[in-house]
Amino acid sequence: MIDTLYIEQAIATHPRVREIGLRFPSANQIMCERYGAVFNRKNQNFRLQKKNPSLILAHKFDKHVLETPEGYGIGGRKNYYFSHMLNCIYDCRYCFLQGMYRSAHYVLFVNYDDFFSAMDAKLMAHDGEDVWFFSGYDCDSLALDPLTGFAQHLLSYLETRPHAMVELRTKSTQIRALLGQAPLSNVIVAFSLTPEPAAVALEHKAPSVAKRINAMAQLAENGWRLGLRFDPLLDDVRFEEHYQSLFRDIFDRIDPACIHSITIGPFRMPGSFFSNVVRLYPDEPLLAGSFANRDGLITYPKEREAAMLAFCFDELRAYVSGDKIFSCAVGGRDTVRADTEPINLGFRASSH
Amino acid sequence: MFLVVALQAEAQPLITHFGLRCESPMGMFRIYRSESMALVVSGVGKSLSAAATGYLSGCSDGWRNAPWINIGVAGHRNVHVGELIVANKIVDQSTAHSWYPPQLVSNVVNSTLITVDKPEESYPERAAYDMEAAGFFPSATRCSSGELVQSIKVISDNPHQSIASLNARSIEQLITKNLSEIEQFIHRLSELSIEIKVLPHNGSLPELWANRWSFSVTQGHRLRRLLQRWKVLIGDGETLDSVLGACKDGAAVLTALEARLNAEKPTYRRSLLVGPRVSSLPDVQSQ
Repeated sequence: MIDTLYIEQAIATHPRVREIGLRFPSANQIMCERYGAVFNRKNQNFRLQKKNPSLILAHKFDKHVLETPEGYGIGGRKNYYFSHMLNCIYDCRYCFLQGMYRSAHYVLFVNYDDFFSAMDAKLMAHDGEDVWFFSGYDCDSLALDPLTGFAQHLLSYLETRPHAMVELRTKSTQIRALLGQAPLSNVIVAFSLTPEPAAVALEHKAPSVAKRINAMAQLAENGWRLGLRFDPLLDDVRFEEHYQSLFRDIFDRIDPACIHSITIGPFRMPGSFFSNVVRLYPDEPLLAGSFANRDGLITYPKEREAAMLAFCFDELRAYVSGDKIFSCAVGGRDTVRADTEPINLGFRASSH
Repeated sequence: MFLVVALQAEAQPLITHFGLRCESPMGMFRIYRSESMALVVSGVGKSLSAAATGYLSGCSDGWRNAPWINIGVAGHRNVHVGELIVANKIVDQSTAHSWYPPQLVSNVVNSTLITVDKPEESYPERAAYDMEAAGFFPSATRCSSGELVQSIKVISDNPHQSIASLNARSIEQLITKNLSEIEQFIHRLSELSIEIKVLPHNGSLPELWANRWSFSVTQGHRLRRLLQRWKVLIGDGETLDSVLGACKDGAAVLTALEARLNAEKPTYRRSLLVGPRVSSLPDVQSQ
């Protein structure tokens, strides 16, 4: 799986680095000064590197926890995000990471405790309030968990921090760490989903939608609270039919009472990222479609986007109450339903 | 495909094997070419290697993102003479600067490669030693993507077999014995490069249209992308003539193309255009 392992010299003797090194006995281990010497250098090609990504083990010195853009959230007032990894093992053609980075290598920051200390600092700063931490913006929260073991450490940390609310965002079925312990009420396991035909065409190497629903059902049975993330919404000539079918498949298996929140976010990507992705995959039908540039953000044309959001919102209302549905649309609540309360501005790129 | 080689003795087996012909008149460096490959003989040392890389690039109409390979012999503390290695880390000993060529071709032994200013005879580190890679790599990555810039070396000396025993004939033999592996490596990099081959910036619309309309540079870029989208979304299902027939100028062409493409219904479908990204689409003439 990993042929080349880059290790920052300064953490070569870190127990986690040694442990991961042992998992890849035949990989070439290459020492480097800082991960930036390997990752995201000029004149690197994401598409080529994606063919055989290396793993880079690094130490993150600062900015462990960052504020989300204003308005982003699923009901909380204080919202932050963190990334213990950069990049993802899946290869989704709409993913903004391929436009943001020139490098497809996976970077794992092994100093997990520093992330937790940074979270503690935020909790102290907002003493007594719930503080939301979103994981899975620059990576999939769980996909490499059998290797990183991050989820287990995070869950242990969260057991004693009831005000630390965490979203784990994933397309993965790697839920062993979660099933192996009692559910935590401050953790939302949020699954990114698109209709099966979109997943087959665009979400290369990701588990099928059916497998993701199955993983969700197992988590729900074990008492974990779930999130549904329809972000990005992807247009199709049979858009309504496909999303109706997806919602039906989900709620056939999942009790709506287990759903903490649902996010719907139309496709959106900063123009520069979009140009990079088009350069990588000029023959990709998704990217050749009809898009608008709205203040530097590439989206579906406004009217079409509004129609997609409204359709999904109405369909989802048949299963859950409106206060559980959040939007990541540009322009926020107006684009869905004026009578909908919890609508927020999203990150400037749709999920991955 | 561009090869940068220090010595004539290292180059000769490659010249013979790939049927390269010496270019004349000779300029700063001797260049050998075939239709798909160019080789420059740089001379010894990182400065010459960097200069020869730049010279070869300047003398070639190669596409951006072509493979660039530095081939030669090197010493190594732990590897047997005659084995081929690919550099996964290049260190300039004199500056301590390092580069990390991304490793996509996995069937060759990897090693750190330290570029030294004088021949290394004591092999203090578990690494290969050469005199060119640290000049070649930063120069070649200005012409191509880092994944396609590689340094491969045949081990010619080690603590048991001194560098002093090397001569032109033995170097030729070392390269010759590894030609098959070298060729495989070249072939694999070529495949990768085709995948990200950038379409040439200069080209022309089919003559019929090129004579009718002209496009500014900006319009040219836009037209190229619109034609790309046409290929993906509509392909041969409809002729461009049906949309462009009535257009009076370049701006109208762009508007008509865009309108037609935006009317196309979106579908979830895989890209059908697998393999090389060499499009048969007309390229765009910029003014």
